[in-house]
Amino acid sequence: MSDSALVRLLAHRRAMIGAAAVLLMLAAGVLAPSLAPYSYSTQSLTQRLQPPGPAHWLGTDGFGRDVLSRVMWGSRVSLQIGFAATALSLVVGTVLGGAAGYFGRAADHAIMRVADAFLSVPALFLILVVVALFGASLLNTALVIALVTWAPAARVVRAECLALRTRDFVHAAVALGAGHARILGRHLLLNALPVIVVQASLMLGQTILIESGLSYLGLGAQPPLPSWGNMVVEGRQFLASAWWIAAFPGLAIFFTVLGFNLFGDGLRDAFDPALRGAS
Amino acid sequence: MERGLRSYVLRRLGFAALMLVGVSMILFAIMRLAPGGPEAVLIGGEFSAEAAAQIRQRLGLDRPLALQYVTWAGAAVRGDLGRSFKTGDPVASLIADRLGPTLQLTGGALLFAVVVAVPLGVLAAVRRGTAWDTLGSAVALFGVSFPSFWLGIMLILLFSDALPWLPPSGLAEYGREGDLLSRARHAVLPTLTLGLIQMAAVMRFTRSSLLEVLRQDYVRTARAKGLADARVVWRHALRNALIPVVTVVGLSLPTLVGGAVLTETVFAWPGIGRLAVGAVFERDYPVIMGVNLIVGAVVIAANLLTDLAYTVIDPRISYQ
Amino acid sequence: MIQSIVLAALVVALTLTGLRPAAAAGRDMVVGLSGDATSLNPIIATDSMSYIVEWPVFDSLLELDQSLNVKPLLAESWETSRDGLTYTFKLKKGVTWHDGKPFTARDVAFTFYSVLDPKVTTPHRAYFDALAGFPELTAKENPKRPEELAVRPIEVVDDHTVRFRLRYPSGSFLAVLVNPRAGIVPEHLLRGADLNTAEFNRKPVGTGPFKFVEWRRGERIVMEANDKYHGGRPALNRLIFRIIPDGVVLVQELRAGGVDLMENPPLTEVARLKQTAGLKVLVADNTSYTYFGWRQDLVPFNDVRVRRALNHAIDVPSIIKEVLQGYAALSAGQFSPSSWAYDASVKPYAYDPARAKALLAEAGFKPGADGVLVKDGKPFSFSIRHDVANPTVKDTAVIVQEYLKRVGVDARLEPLDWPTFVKKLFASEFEGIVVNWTNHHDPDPFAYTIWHSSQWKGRNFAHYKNARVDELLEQARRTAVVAERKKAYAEFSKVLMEDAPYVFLYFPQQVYVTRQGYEGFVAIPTFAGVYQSLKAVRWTGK
Repeated sequence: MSDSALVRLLAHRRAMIGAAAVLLMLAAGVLAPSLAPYSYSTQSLTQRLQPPGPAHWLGTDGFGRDVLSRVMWGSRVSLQIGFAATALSLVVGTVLGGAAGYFGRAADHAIMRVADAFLSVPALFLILVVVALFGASLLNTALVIALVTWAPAARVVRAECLALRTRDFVHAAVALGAGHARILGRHLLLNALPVIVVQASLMLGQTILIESGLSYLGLGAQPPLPSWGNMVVEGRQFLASAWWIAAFPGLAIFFTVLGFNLFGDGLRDAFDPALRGAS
Repeated sequence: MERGLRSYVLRRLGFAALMLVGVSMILFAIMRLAPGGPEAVLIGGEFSAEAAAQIRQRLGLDRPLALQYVTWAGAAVRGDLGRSFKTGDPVASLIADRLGPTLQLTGGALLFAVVVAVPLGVLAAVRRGTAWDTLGSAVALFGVSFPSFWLGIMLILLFSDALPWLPPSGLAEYGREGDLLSRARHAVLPTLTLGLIQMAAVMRFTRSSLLEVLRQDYVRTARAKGLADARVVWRHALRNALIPVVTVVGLSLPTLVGGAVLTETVFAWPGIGRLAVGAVFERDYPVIMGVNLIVGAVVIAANLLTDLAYTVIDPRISYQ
Repeated sequence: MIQSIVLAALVVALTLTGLRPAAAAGRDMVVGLSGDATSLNPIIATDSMSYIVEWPVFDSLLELDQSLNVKPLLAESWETSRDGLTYTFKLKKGVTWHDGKPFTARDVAFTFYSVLDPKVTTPHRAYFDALAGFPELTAKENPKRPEELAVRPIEVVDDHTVRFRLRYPSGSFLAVLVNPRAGIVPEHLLRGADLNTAEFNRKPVGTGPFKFVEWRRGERIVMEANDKYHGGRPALNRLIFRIIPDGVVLVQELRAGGVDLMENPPLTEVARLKQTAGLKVLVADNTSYTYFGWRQDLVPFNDVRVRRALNHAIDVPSIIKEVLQGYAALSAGQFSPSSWAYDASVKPYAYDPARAKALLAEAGFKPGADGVLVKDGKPFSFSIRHDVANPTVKDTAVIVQEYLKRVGVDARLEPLDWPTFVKKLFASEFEGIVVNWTNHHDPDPFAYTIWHSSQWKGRNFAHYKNARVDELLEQARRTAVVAERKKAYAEFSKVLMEDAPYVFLYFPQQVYVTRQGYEGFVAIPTFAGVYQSLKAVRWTGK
C-alpha cells in the first residue's frame, strides 16, 4: 500500500472507528484465555440467568456461565472461522476470477461454469451436505463457508478484470511484450487489489454473519464451545426474561461486522482519493 | 444479436446441461456417503435393524450406487423427479407447491430492495456529502451488518409480541389462504426481514459503483462538452454503474428460487429453502436431487441472462 | 404531494395491521406441533408426531384412565380364561367407520394380522410377541399364513366378538391394545393393499371422534368432528394441527392467537405463561426418561466402581430444580414413580463428588497433569453422542459434561443429526450417550427389549448383560398375575440400580399450554396422554 494511501487511511475517521471496533474484538479473542474472568464452560446452576452485575458484568446464561467470558471466547471462535474462510475464499476466488477475466474465452468459460455449478447448488444445502458428512468442526465450518463464497468473489473479480483488461495500461504492457503472468499478476490484479482488499474486509463481516446463520440451524461451533452465533441461538428462548444472553453476542456480531464494513469502505477511499467520500 | 451471440448461447446451454449432470452426480455420491439414511426418520424412535433393512430395500437403497443414479437420471430426463422418501408425494409437486410462497417472499424482497435501493443509491451518489448521502449510507451500512435471522427475530418481537399488530409466522390463517389481506399481513415481516438487508446491500453497491463511474473520463468529457448533468448521469453513467448492480441481483438469484432458508425457518414460511434443508436432515434423497436440479437449472439460466445483460449495458464487453 | 403520499401510506398501514383476527378458538382448536407426521396409518407409523395425529382419528379396543388402567373403548367387555391364554372381547354395536360402513370383528382381526405380517414394515410387531403362532407367522424365511396354523391367534367368533389366543400368559397383553399403537383400521379399505405405501396412509379412515379432512405436508393436518361417533359427537368442531418447528415461534403463536394448544414450551417461559391472562398450563407425569449411558462392555465402563462413581458425580436434583424448573421426577431406574411397577425402596445414588473421586481412585485412576484422571497411561476421556435436535437432551449433555469435568473425567460432546445418531446408536458405535426413551405405560416390552441380554442387536445397544436380570424379566413377562410381576420388577429395579449401568437422570413431565376457555383435558401420565382426551374437550368461552 502506497504511503499516501496509508496516510489517507489513517486520517479517515470512519475507517479508524471501524478498525478500532475490529481490533477490540480481535484483542478480546486473542486475550480471552488470559483475560476472561471465567472459563467459557464453568457452570453454576444456582447462578443461572443473573442480570449484569458486579460478579458477572454481562450477566450469566441458562447454565450459569459468565456471558462476558463467553463473548470473549466467542470472539476467538467467530473470528477464527471468519479469517480462515475469507482467506481461503479470496485466494481461490481471486486466482480463478482473475484468470477468467483476463484470459477470456475458454478459460473464462470453464472457470465460470465451475463457479456456476457451485452457485447453482443452494448454499445452505451444500453446507449441510458437507457438515453431515464430515462433522461440524471449526475447520469444516470455515472450509464450507469458503466453498460457498468463493464463487461470488470470483465473479466480482472477474467483472473487474474484464473491465480493466480493456484499459490503456494493459494495452501498453502487451505492446511492451509482457507475458501473461506478468500482466495478470502485476498489472491487472495489482490494480484490482483495491477491489480485492475491500472485498476481503466486507467478506470478513459476511462470513461472521454466515457462521451465525449456521448456528441458528444447529451447525457451526458446537457446545460448550461458544461462538457468537450459537450464543444468540441459545439465548433466544430467554429473550423476554434474560435478554442479555442473546443481546450481547448479537451486539458483538453487529459491531464487528459494522467495523469490518467501515474499515473496508475506508480502504476503498484511501486507495482512490478521487473517490473520497465514495463510501 | 446474430450468429456470434446465438452460438454463444447454445454453447452456454450445452455446458449448462453438462454442469447439471456433473453436479447431480457429485451430490448423489456425497449424500450416499453421509452416515444414516431415510429409514431413521421413517421409523422414528422405535428403530429396529429389521425394519430399517426392509425400508431400505423398498426404497431401492440396497442396489448398486450407479444403478440408483441412472434410474433417477433416466426418470428425471423424462420429467419424473420421483417421490419423496418421507412422504411419498411426487417431488415435482412438493416443489411446485412451494414455488409460489418462495417467489412471493424472495421476489417481493428483491423488488422492495431494488425499488428502494437504486433510487436511494443514486441519490446518495449524486448528492454526495450531503445529509441525504450520510443518512442513506449509514442506514445501508447498518443493514448489511445484521444477521438476517436476528433481524427477523427482532421484528417479530417488536411487531408481534410487544405490539400485537402482525402475525409471527406462517403464510396465512387456516382457511384464509385466498384472503389477500391475510396473506399480505403475514408477508410483511418476512419480506421486510429479507428485503431490508438486500436493500442495504444493493444501495451500497449502486452508490459506490455510480460514484466510480461518475468520475471516469468519458463522463467528465460529457460534462465538459456541456451536456446537462441529468443527461450525463442517466445516459452514460447509470448504464455502466448498473453492471455491479446486475451482478448483485444475479448473485441473489439462487436465493430467489432456492428460498431464503433462515428467514423461512424463523417465520415457518412454507418455501423451497426449508424443504431443501429438511430433506438434507432427513436424508430424503429424491427431494434433495430434485430441488438441486430445478434450482440449478434456473440459476444457470439466470446467470446466462445476466451475462447477456452485461453486453447490453456495457458495449465494451462482448463475447465474440 | 408529500402529504397525500404520507396519508396513503398511513391508510395502507392501518389496513394491514387491522384488528386481531378472530381466534380459531371457539369451537375449533389449533394444536401446534413441532414436526410433521410421516404416516397416518397406526400400523405403519412409529414416530411421535404421527402418534399424536392418529389418536383422534382411530379408536383402539381399549383406552387408558388416569391411573394407567385399561377401560373399554371399542371393546365393551372382555373375559379372560383361567389359564390366561384366551381373551374374548365383546365389541360395541352400532359403530361405523368414517365412510359409513359398519365396524365389525373382522376389522380387528385384519388389523392385528397385518401387524404380524412380515411384509409390513412395523416395529409394533414386537409388542404382540405373546400371541399364539407368533414365531411362525413372523418368521423371516417362509412365514406361515394364519390359515395354516393349528391354533389361530385371532378368531372372529361373530360380527361383534373377537377372540385372542396367547402362547404364554402375558400381563401386558391388555395394556398393548391401546392407542397409539393399536388403532383399528378398516378391512374393507385395506384388504389386498400394500400397507407400506397405501394411499390410505395419507388419507386415513377410522372410527375415531374426528374425521380426517386434509394434510398439507409440512404445514398442517386438519380434521373435523365425527357426528356419528359412538361415544357422542365431540364438543370441538375441528382440530387443526399446525406444524411449527421453532419452539420459540410456537410460543409466540400461542400468545398471538394463532395456536390454542402446544406442548413443551421452553421451561423458563412456563412461569410467565402461567401468569398470562387467558392461558393456562397443564402438567402430567410421563413414562419416558432421560439418561446418560455408555457401552457396558468398554473399558473403563465395565468396572462397577467406575459406573457408580459416574452416578455420584452428577447432581440430578439440582438439574431438576434449576434447569427443569421442577417439571421432572428423579429417576431411579426403568419405571416412573406413577407406574405400578415402581418400587419406592430403590433409591438413586446421592450426589457426592468426593465419593465419586474415591471410587475412581479405588478403580485405579490417578489425576494427570491437566486434571484429567489417568489409568494405565490412558486418560479417562470419551465422547458423548446425542441428538442435536432435542433441546432438553442437548442442555442435559452440556451439564453432564461439566459435572464429569469436576471429578476429573473428560467428556467431549458430539451432537449428531437424527439419522446419523440413530444409525450409530443401534450399531452400538458409541462410547457415552445422552438419550430420552419414549417408554410404554406397561413395563413390558421395553424393560425386556432394553435390558435383556438377547437384545444386543436391538434396544440393548449398550450391551448390558446380567443373568439374574434376564431371569426376572422373563418371569415378569410370562405371567398375568400383577402381584408376581410387581415382585419380579421390584427385584429387577434393585439389581439394576446396584449394577448402575446408566446414570438414570430424570422423568420429564409433560407440560402443555392452552387457553383458559378450553375445559375437559384429562392428564393421562403417559406419552402424549393429553391428546386422548381431545374428544372430551369443550370451549366454555371464558
